[in-house]
Amino acid sequence: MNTQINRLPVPTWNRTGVNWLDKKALPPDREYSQGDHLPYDGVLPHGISLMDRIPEEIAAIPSGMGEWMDEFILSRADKTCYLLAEGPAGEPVIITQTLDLTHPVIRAHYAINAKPGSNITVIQINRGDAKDGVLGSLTQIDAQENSVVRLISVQLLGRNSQSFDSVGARIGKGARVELVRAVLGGKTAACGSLAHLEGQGGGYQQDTAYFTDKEQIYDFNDIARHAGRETESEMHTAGVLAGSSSKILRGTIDFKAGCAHSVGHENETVLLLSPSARNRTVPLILCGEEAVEGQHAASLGQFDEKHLYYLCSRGLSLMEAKRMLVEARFMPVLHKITPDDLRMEILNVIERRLDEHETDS
Amino acid sequence: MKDFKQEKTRVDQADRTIYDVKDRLDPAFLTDSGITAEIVNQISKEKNEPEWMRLFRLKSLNTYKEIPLPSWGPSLDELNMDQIVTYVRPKSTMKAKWSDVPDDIKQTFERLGIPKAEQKSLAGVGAQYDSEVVYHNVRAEVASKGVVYTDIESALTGPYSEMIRKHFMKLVPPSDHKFAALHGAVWSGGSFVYVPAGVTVDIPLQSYFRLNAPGAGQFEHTLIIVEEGAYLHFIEGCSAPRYYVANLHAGCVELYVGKNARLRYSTIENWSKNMYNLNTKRASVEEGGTVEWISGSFGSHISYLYPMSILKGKKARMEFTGITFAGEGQNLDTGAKVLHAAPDTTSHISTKSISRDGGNSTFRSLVTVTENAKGSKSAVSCESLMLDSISRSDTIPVMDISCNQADIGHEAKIGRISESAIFYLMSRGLSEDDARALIVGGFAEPIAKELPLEYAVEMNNLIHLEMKGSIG
Repeated sequence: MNTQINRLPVPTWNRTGVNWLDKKALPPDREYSQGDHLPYDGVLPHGISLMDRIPEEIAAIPSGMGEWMDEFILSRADKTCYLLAEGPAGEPVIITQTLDLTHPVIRAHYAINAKPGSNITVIQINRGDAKDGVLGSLTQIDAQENSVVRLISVQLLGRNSQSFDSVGARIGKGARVELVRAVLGGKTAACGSLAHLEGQGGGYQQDTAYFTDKEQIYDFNDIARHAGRETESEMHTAGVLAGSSSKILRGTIDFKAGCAHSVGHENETVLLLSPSARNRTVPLILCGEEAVEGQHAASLGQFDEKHLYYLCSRGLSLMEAKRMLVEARFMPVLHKITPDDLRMEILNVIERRLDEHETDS
Repeated sequence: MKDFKQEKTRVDQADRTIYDVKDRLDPAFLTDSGITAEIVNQISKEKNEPEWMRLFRLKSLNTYKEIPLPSWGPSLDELNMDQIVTYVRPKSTMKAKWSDVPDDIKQTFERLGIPKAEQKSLAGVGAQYDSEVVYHNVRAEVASKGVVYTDIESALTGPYSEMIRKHFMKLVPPSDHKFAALHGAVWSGGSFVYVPAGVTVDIPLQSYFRLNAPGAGQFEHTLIIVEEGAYLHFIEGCSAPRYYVANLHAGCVELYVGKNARLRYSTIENWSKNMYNLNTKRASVEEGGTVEWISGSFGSHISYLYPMSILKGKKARMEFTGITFAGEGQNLDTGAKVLHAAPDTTSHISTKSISRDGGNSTFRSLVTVTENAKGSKSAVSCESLMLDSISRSDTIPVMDISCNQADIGHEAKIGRISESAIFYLMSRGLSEDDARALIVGGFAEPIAKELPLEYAVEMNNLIHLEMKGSIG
């Protein structure tokens, strides 16, 4: 089995170190089982029910981190939540996983089986911390014809833990999947997503915000694979790097032969706050179809001095101006995160990080 | 609005008649095929080289054997080095007048327009046929300024020998990759150019490389040193007739651009479609210096080509403009690399590609900004046009940024002509066909406009666009 996780769909120069996630970041090899499998036992909104087991066709949906991570989670998942959506939107399903002393390792397996015409929102919140803590999750989504699936993933782990979050989605005819991610915690955080736009007219929207500092290492691998005609994808990432952190983002728009009249857009903006942070960005467009439109853009840099000057001239302190610009950068993503108290919690984390960065500088 | 699906843009295959003429194979000497220490020693002996170069070649051979093939990029599985003849010496020594060049070789270059271009608009020409330079000349008024333009092998033993030794394969060491090591072992031919401080060479120098022998390799080495405040435009062109066996080109170009100097390096690559083009080009740019790469890739079966610039001095600059046409049977992996290693450096990479008839075009780039490159700026732009669904176009850029006081931007797009652009032009009175022609012509124009067309003899032959209806 290929143990490369977050593998770039088409490799490039090996010296760049971006072809896959370094093995050193993989979870340490140790016994993870913590006892009996615990299915989700929270409240479910109207129109949503639990499945006893995950259908085979959904279990086979590949995810963005690759087969090794899929197997790592599937082989002994101790937390599961297999949701079946058959009706229109109700309240969101909120699933919280918390690492602590008694639960330093969690392997969570989620599935969302969205039947035709259904509508479901799932909010995953990962919190807590533990020495050598690991929280790995795999979410497999089958968005059938004209269904809408929204997945909001918020990671707020402490600095002693590692986070591995992999998503795979199969998007049917006219269906739509939206993935919103806020990644703020962990000493190492790896995220991967693979959206397979199989059915005609399917859509995929992904919005990610991240903030790294100190010695955090973040690694992303997001793929929108267009196979069906007239499919659309939008992937937007906004990030801030401070301290001695480092980050790799691989974003791929992959147009397969047969996906005529499809459109894919991807962009990333990165703000580097400190001289010792390191950013690597790898935005790919792979195209085997003639009649498509694909675009990607990336901009990486510093605070715009003119913007800072303008805000300070209006009476804000330099710190307030910087905070405003950072929040503005994240707002397009944060606006999509519910509930409000969760969004405020994320904003507070960002503000605290900025304050710590200013203090450390 | 009209349904644009039915009519497609046609980009005709270039007329290769003049390039595909095969001269009778009648070399003075050629090595066995394959690569061994005996062959390397043989090449060195044929050239009567200094001992340090022979030892350098043998060390490179060992390095070549140790390094594996790249694990990325187009497959090289069908390239069998055991069948490549690395050295073919034509029946001609180097001449300074075309009238002294043997007729068959002279006619080949006349057909390609080289002597005519030299008369009309070049300051000097070097012409390489298979493994050796057969013609080299530089205008007296250029030489009188102290400009040196000679074949590199003569320079190895002449007054510039120390300069050559100091610079040879230091920018591209044999350890860089497998085909750099191969080059170090079997290199032959190529040019050395030296432009003294403050000298402007108003009209370009050109080297042209012609590979005639089937199953052979060409491994020319170009070394250019442009001293402080000087200017040079250097053009290289290449072609080969098409055979049914593989040919290999693993040349090496090393450019040293001094303080406040400027060097423009233009290439029209038109190798035949059996050629493996595994070329390495690198420039080092000092404070205030500028390197401009103009690159047109039209030929080869498989290409690996990524000119790299090292911006080592404050305010050094790099501009890269490239166009790639990948047609039937071609897998062209091209792009550029730049390393910002000093403050206030700037780079701009702009490329276009067209894929058709099953061609495969890959744009690959690397922008690296080190922590001390404060105030640096880089912009990368890549546009791709695919004309059918049996072709491929991939874009694989990497940005590696370790400086928080730099501004880096990248954009890429692939697709069809914007309908709103057509509408705009039609609203200004153009017919739909004229509007499309204008837009597609504009797509290829940036490279064409950068080249002095009267010098780049092949450019007019290679870019020929015929517009009908929409672009799919």
